[in-house]
Amino acid sequence: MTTPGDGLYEKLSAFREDIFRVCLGFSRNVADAEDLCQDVFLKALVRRDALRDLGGARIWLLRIARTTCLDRIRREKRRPTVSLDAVPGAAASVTAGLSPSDPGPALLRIKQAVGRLPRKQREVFVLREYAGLSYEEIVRTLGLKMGTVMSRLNRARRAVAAEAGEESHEHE
Amino acid sequence: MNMNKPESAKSELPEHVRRLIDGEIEAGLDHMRKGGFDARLKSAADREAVTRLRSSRRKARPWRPALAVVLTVVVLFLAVVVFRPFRSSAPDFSGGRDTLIAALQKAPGLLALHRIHADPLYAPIPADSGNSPLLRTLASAVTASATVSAYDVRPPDLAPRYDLQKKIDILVNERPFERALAAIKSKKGDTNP
Repeated sequence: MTTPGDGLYEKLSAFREDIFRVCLGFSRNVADAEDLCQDVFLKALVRRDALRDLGGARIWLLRIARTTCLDRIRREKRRPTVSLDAVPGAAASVTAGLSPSDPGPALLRIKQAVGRLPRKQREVFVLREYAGLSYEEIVRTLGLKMGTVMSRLNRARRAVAAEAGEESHEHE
Repeated sequence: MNMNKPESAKSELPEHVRRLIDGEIEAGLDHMRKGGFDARLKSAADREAVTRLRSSRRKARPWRPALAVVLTVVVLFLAVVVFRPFRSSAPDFSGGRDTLIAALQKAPGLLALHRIHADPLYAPIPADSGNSPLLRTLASAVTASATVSAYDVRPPDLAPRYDLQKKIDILVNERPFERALAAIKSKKGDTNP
């Protein structure tokens, strides 16, 4: 079993980019994604006893990331906030030069489309399109059947393409 | 990008949407790498490790909370029961019955009576007692009655206008003070109950 100072963080941090991608897919901007990513790693370290095999660490972390992100979304629904990214001009004036928080209108459109997806489609879409997981890994992460993953992903892609497609073309 | 991604799946998302998402991911990863996020993550992990280490040390000494409880109980017992910090601040009574009678004569009311009733140390005064706990209690109560407003504990019929004889009458009629007062009076040669 792992103990403090056993280098678990160093082993887990090899997956930080994968986790960051998932968090980015679920969140509105880079800053939120970094916060979520930090939460994921802290949760993982606190619950380290649940990790029985380091070989399954990636899937384990992805599950924690999914849960953490969905929890955050649920919380934000109860206490809604308005992102500066959604306020024309505000993001540019406040965050100029600080971070790539302003996604631009085309990307903002896509993010809004992803944000409007039903939860089940959204998590499959994020794991596939942001984290780059294979279908098999999505099946293992979410505990679904392959057919379910494929159908949800198909519907999610269509919805995002339909909502974001034409607008995105205009800004390209 | 991830090598697991089959080309057929990638093609299902419109190319311009795919490019936008990839651009967002690359920009985000770039910011994460350059913006000190790794150091922030490591710092949080270190803090968690320290917290966990402290927690494991606490778990290694499960008897500590029990010891703290026992010590607290002992200290409270010593403080409240043995040293009795809330008892009357009257001076120690060392003059025996004569001083008690003198104190009773000075008492503005019969607060002493009520205090004696409430005092667990009460016992009939032995004839030969000189400095018994009861006498000390009586003295403390009588002395305290000179400084504490008596009206809130004294029954209306025991107003201070009664003289000492009246007070003694009341005390005698309040059993089990009868024996105590009788003993005091027999020593003083006072035969009038």
